[in-house]
Amino acid sequence: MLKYIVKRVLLLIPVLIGVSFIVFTIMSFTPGDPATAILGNGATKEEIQQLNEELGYYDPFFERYFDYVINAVQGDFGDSYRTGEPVFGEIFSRFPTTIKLAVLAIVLAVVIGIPIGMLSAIKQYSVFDVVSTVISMFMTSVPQFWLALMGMLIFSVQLHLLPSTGLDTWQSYIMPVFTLCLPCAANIIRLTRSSMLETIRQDYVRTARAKGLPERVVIWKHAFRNALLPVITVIGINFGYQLGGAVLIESIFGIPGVGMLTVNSIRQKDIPQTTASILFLAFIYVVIMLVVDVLYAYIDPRLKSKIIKSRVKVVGSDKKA
Amino acid sequence: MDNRMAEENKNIEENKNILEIKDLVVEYHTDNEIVHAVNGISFSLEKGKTLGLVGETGAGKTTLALSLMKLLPKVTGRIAGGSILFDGKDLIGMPEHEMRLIRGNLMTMIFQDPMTSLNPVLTVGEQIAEVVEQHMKLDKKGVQDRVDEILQLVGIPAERKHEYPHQFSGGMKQRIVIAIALACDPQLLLADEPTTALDVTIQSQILDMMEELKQKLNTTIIFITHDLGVVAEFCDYVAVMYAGEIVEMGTAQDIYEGDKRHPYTVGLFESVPNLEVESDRLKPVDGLMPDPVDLPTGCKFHPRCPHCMDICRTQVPEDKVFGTHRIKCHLDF
Repeated sequence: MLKYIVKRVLLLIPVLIGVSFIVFTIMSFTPGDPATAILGNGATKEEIQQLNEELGYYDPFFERYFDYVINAVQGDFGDSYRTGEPVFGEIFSRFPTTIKLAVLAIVLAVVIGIPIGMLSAIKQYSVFDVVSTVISMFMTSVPQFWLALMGMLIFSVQLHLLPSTGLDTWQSYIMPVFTLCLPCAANIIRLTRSSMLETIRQDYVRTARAKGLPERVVIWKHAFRNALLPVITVIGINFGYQLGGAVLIESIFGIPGVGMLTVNSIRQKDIPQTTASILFLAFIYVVIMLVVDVLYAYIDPRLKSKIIKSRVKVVGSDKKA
Repeated sequence: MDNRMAEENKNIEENKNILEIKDLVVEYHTDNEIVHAVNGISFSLEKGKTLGLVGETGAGKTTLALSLMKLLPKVTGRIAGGSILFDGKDLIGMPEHEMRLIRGNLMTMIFQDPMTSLNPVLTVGEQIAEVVEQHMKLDKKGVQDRVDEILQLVGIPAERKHEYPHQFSGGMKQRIVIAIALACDPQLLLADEPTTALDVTIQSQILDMMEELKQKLNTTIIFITHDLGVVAEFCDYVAVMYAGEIVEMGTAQDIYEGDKRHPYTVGLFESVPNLEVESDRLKPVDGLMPDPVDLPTGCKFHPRCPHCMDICRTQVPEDKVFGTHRIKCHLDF
């Protein structure tokens, strides 16, 4: 197992190099230069040129990229053009806000999604099932920003119930968290339902019933754990998606998180800050997927023995298993 | 434990037949059609005897077994008529919580496909222990002892109880499925093609094992199969099913050595390859099993029957009884 985890962590390296290259390239070849963005329209041509030179903006692209990578390997991801501070200082000070939103949203999505999905499957074709299916279809179909804007329009502008921006009181968490959570919950509902429907038709569930076990045990012990496997993957993917969604949601609701930082750095052509922010989000995403994979192996013993290769040759030769 | 034994003994005195089925009708209702899977089956079975239930795929054998367990698919399957008396108790009207005391305990079932019948995420020990915990009043250690004991009985080392189903071969998995079915010393065991998914050498091991259990525990067994050879060596009684009906039933001797036979049974026997007679081709029963949605009138076998008469097309034949032997046919024997 440890070997597997180490292997997966090593795989992070090419992923991060790829991401940094793409971001760096895009930032370098889009119109506009950092000095203009930093100094504003009032600056003279000479001032702009001087600052760009200081920032190394006129060096050849590959030279700049390799310098960046070599420094990054040594732990120096550069200073923000805008503040002059090391980039990760800003990221770390803002990350708690972002992760708090993401975790709240994902926990809420799981708490809402799994029970509703289960109930939908157990009471297939009932009124409850139909209503939850229609609502979750809707929630997965609408864009997140539309949900955010509608929420703002209804709860802040019309009803004056919730604040529209910032994160000062607990009420101000409600809208961002729900906007992040609902599409994700809808995904979880849909997947839990279909996965559960498939599982309760399995032979081993019939075996469990044939043992005279109460329905509660049949569902939760035998069906649920098997139905959970694909759901966990989707939860992981959604969690990563939340971090990406943070860019959008934080901009709309004016929340000072990593997402907003990324958007602002892009606007200001702050190449080191943008690259670092996106690298950081990519890193978190990959780590989450790794955690999901490890979790998977713990829930499904078949995968565990595939991962622990030494044993698979002896006992796992049964292909049908 | 003692209580149950005492109760069992009392029941044995009161009731010689463990199972009495009368005019059982089972249907599957789907959106646009009704599948007539079991159409008026009646038979009874004495304690400790083995009944072989043979017939083609789709004859309703598994449906019959599932309706005895009351495990028909919830949405579609329903028992439309008749009665099932298990040890004198009516199963059809029985509420679910009482039925659960019978299932896995007094009446158990071995399922057809061992590859899919075990839960992949639980160890085999847990899967056996669960049924023991449910029905036997034992403490933790008692449960584990029973699991070890039952695993040894089916020929699996007790140490392997901590392993998962995928770590076992097909034959071993079937033994585990059998272990689950035997864990609480059932009175009636429904074995639904327990050897069909296995290769021949393992088949015979499993059969030897079941034979041994029958001797040891005096369990009544309903053995569902399409292997006529297995039935001959293993069963006291044989029932031949066709299109949801029992067309012929009797002792193994009646069916295998008797001079009277239902034309369908004759066809079944002729389709088995015979080592003593040289032939290039097998002789299958002509035609196909009728569609259970749209069954033929009269005798359900008449479209395929070589002796079909006019009366067969219109009138459902009555059982003709010859001692222990009964045949559902218009022919004179």
